[in-house]
Amino acid sequence: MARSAISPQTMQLLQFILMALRDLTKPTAAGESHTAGAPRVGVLGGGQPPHAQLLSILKSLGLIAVTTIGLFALTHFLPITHIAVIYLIPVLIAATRWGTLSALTAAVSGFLAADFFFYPPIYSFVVYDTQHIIDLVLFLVIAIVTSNLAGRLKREVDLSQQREEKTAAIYAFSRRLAACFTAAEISDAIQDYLSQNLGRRVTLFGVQPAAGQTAAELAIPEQVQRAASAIQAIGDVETRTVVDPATRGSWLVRSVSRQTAEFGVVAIELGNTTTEMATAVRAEVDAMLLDAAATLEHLDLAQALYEAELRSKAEQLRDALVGSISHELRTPLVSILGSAGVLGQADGIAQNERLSSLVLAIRTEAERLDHDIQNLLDAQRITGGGIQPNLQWTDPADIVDTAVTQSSRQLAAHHVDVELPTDLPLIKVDSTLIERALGQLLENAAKYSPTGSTIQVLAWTEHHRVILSVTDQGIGLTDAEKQNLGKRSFRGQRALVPGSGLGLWIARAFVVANAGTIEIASEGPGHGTRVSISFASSREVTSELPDDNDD
Amino acid sequence: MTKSGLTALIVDDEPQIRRFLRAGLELSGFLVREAEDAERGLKAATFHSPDIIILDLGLPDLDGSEVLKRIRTWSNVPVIILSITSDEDEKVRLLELGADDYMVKPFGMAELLARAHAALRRYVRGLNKDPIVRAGPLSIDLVTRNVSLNGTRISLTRKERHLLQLLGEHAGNVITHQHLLREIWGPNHTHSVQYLRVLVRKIRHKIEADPARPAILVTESGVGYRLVQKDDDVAEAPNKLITA
Repeated sequence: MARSAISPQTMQLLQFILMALRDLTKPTAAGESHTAGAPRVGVLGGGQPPHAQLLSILKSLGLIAVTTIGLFALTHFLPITHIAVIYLIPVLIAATRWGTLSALTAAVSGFLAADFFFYPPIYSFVVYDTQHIIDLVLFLVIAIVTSNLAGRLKREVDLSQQREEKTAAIYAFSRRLAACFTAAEISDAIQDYLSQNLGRRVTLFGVQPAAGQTAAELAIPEQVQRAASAIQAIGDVETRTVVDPATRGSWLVRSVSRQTAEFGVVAIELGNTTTEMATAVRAEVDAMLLDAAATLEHLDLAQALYEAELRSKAEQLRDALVGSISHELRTPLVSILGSAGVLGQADGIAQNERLSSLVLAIRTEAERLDHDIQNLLDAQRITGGGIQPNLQWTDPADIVDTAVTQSSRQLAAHHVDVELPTDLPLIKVDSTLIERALGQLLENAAKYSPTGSTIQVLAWTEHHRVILSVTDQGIGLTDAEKQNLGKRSFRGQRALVPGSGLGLWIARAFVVANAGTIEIASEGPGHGTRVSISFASSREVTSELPDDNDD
Repeated sequence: MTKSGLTALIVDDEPQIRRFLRAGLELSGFLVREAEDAERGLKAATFHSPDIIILDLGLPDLDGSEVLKRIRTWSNVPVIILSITSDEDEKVRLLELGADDYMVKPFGMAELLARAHAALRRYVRGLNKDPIVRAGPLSIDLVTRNVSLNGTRISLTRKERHLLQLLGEHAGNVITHQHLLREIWGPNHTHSVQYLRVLVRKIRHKIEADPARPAILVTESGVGYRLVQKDDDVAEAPNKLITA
């Protein structure tokens, strides 16, 4: 028994520990070098909320328990001498996954478990063998050191992941800027970028003062608006805190860039917060905006604005062309359709099945062409900014009825199931626009679902809104398709159906122009699609009706 | 194809359109006259006193609506407007100017004939005083204002009765919201479309088999309402006798 001799392995271990300890005392180089790029908050240790920390401690305790039970079973069959080394496994797992505190918990509890269950005398914390004592102490030190190293590695990985996400976000943002047509769209892009980065509702003021006030700007409390325009007017670079007297909510208002007013002024809603919290957020916002302003400068906003204008002019020209061509195409179509109609009724043709089927073919094809031309004209109207809805109180039932009737040719091979409550409130919309929107949804449903399947049209009220929905049993949508749905000329690629891909884009534009919302849901490919549109409804209109008594 | 001997005047600058209109109208028994611009159209309307005028809006020399205005200064002849635009305000304006109906191009011949016949019946009714109008299972006595469904008198409120009478007088043709509101609620309520929506919904529950898919009292989006007549609701197309 080498009671007091230290084995060569132990010596090696000691050396390693000493080196590691030296390494630990050095300043954290990794942390330092990244502060310039990414915000450090939440990245370096201790960022976990208390309940998550408790959970990881419990998990590491569980790991130790499992290891103990496993070892206990194993020692019945195999003689295992280096029990302590095996306990390093759960310690390492805890260190890499759940951080230093969990690793320490695992190390201490592993130390105690090894002592209690495996070192003689068993079932006691007393240790006789000096070698075992050294083993246990070494084990504790190794646990601490490795957990620290593993923790640092984990932070490195987290940081690089965050850098990657940031790069991806900047890339996505610059791509979005490149697709903007107007200053308003660029402003929206910046606003979304800032909101996403701050994780708070952000409103951007005046990227292009000539554009006037946007709806989002108007939704902001007056006090905050005034502060924003003041900052813009005098070029103030300080961050201001404004309290909205109505809601008692605080807002941070400051210029996006400290150098130029070109990027506008942001207002960030904080809600009801304490002064300390507001200060913390302000620091976070300042750091983030420094970053964002650098990105914006780099992307050259002026150039983006100029390019957007060019694109919009090109689009206008194209639409003007489409408009005149559509008109030219339509005139002969009137004669073709009219003549086919007369022919179909004529003696000698009406009775001859073969001939009348030809006349019918002329008619349906010409109608299809006319329908496509109508879509082009609608698209032109939308991009021309010419949708001025003629809002009138309308019975939603009328809209559904007209849309189903107008699309009856496209819906002929499907079963259309319309279910409407009899007491739907009225909605104030431009009925013809909403009929066309609903028609597009019905036609899409028919296009992308098998013949003979059911298309369900439902209407109901919810929170003072009337909702109309079209549900099909068709091919549904993949996640990638959902992302692209709103775009002009997007078409489902999985089904070979003809079409311009304008349908949903037109429907969305018409619904939005009527202050409605549109939502598309699908359980996934093969599970059908449901598109719902909703509009604010009347509440008192029915009672407003002047007396109408029986005579 | 009954030979009614009625004369239709087509005013349209597109020869292809005139050609199929002529074919369609002649097949259903009309005598047809054509004019390729407003000036000739107005002349033909004056000298040949047609029984019905099919008037295109986009004429080279004068706007169709101006032609309509001039015709209305001296004649109550039925006028059906043809238009390439489907702008609702424009439709309403034309109907208020005195057009009997309108067709948006492209349109079907059958539909045009139905509207033309409906307009002719309204014109004729004024002369031969038949007070009963039928629309599917519905019949309206324009004199007593009694309304029955499948032969049974139905109970209606005063305003419901009034609305059905107004639509009945022009059965088959569209009546604007403004006209209905003015007649029923008075000139101060021409923009209170919501009154009409509610009233129409109530009537539909009394007369339609499926009020959600109306077949008798149908909506003309953004324009007004129409009482739909089937072929067998009208014994035959009006004929020349009445012009005597």
